[in-house]
Amino acid sequence: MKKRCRAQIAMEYILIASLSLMILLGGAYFFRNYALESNDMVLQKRLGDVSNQILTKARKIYYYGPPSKSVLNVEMPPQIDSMFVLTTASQDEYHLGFRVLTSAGPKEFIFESDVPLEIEETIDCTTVGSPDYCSQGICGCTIERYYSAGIKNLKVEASDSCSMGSCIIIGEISPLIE
Amino acid sequence: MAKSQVISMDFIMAFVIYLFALSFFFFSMQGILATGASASLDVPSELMFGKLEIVENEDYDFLDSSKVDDAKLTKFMEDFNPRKTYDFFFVDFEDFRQFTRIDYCVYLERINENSTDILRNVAASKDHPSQDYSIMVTPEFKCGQQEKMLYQGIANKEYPRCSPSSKSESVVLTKPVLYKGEIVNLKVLICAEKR
Repeated sequence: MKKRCRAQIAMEYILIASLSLMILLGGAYFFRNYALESNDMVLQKRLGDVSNQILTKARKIYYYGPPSKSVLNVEMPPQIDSMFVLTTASQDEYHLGFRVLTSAGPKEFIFESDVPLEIEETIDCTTVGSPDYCSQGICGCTIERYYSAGIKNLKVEASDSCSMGSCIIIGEISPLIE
Repeated sequence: MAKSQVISMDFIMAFVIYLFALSFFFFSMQGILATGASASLDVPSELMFGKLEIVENEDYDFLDSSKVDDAKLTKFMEDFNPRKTYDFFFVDFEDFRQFTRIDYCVYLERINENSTDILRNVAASKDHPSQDYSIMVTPEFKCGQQEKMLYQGIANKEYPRCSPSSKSESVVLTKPVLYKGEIVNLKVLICAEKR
């Protein structure tokens, strides 16, 4: 009788341990998924916020005209892989774009601009793995200093000596050594 | 183990887990709210040109609605220095919460297809006895030091511009005016140094 009781207790222990392990592992899995999804959502929100700041300022400065200039302090999230300005082949649509590393792999986001944009210091887009959107028009990819993680001083300057006439030139003017 | 001891242990464990979760949350959120709003130079152009129109002394009242009187402008430029011009027109636009200093360049610009002519220009700034303004037309020429600056050719198109410092903000306000029988742009370039 005593032996049966011990066996029953051991069985109950095993059952409780496996049940709690099931709950714990399931919970951890769901939490991990949720955390990754939230991370992507936070990243998307931050990109939207950064783009909105740049594009709103660009529109304002464009209508003031040259030599109006403003410097924005924006914090770039660490997951950005490349930053580019896309002008459609017809040269009537302009976008600010980012390629970011999400939990589901690289993903591209573009934000429409009301005014023509150009990048001050560009590099050949093939060196940063040509964003997919670049096949839809002319792309100007920025150097890494523009989008690397941290606070950036982004210069938004009106100019009328751009390739398409008047435009906004986006530059990064953080001091090299602080 | 006494029952009370078990309960208090549970409470302590729950509190520690709560603290851990809270610190993890703030760690993951760090940096998101780090940047504040950038200082912005918002000067309403109606107010600015309205201010330029209202001059108590008739001799200096060079702007009458949309007409610029050349004789009065010349008199104004001869009699005023940058500090006085600043006090005369721009002192109301000071914003020391965001900017350490704001300089102005008022100029008349004729736009041709292939060139930009700066017809007249006058500087307004505060506390610069050496006349070392932050506004310049080229690195060599500063606003207000020459009455007329002419730039020919699209390649050499130059504007008065502010210092290229990362802390400087600039805005140019434009109003079409009649000057010596032709329509030109009256422009006010505002250069501000952020705090």
